Amino acid sequence: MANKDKLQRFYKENNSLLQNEVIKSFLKQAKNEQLLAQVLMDPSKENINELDKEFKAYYLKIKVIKYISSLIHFYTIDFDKKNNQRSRRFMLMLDAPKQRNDDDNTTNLIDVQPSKYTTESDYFDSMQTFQELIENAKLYNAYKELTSKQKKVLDLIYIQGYNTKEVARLYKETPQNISNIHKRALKKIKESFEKDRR
Amino acid sequence: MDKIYSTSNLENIYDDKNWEDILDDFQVKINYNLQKVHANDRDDLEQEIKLKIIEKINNLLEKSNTPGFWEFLSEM
Repeated sequence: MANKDKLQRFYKENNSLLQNEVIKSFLKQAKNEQLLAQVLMDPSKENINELDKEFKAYYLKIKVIKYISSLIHFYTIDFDKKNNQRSRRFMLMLDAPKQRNDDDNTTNLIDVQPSKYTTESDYFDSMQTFQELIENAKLYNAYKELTSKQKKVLDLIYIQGYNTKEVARLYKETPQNISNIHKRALKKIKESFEKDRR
Repeated sequence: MDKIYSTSNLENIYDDKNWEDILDDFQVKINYNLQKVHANDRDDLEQEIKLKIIEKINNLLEKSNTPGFWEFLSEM
């Protein structure tokens, strides 16, 4: 009986401290609560150490998780910034002006390079498509089911590395529309995979 | 993330430096953040994040001064 009183007294006296989230979640586990009760009833060195050890391990885990998740978050931002800066500083040779010393010359090197394709449609016809590249039979069948517009958009985005805006300019449509086509195509492929699994 | 809390036999996951398990726990968070960069850079970023995690956890464990239960209570 006296033990129970002790327990209740402890909880009452330390009520505000026990509201701390770390402590609260620690004590939520039955094992830990029992340890605490043991310490209160029999405050031997062994029991105290046991509780301390348990809590240390628990608190360390929380600390690590918190630290690492913000590390991941900020490292991604840093990485992106670094990449953007690099691509701005080290522009591709072809995008640089044709003659270095000539300030008035606004022609870029790429504008004076002859293309081996005579017309624009020649160029797009010679592009690789997923039709030739896919090796997985399931995926190939799913790809074949798409409309020709969907196929074309997927090719442009994933093989040529165009972004939605560039594809939209090509088709003279809005980026939203292209994004929709893109999403619907992916969804269709996903659905055909799920149908297979069943 | 749940794994760390729930499995008691992974208690010593950090002591044993079982890197595969540790990195697995953060994979979801990593994947989420990978979506923020260009598709070409994702593999690079993933590798660099994982390296960084190992480095930092090593660091944390080396000079960690985690308080015990009573220390923590008295500090508040």
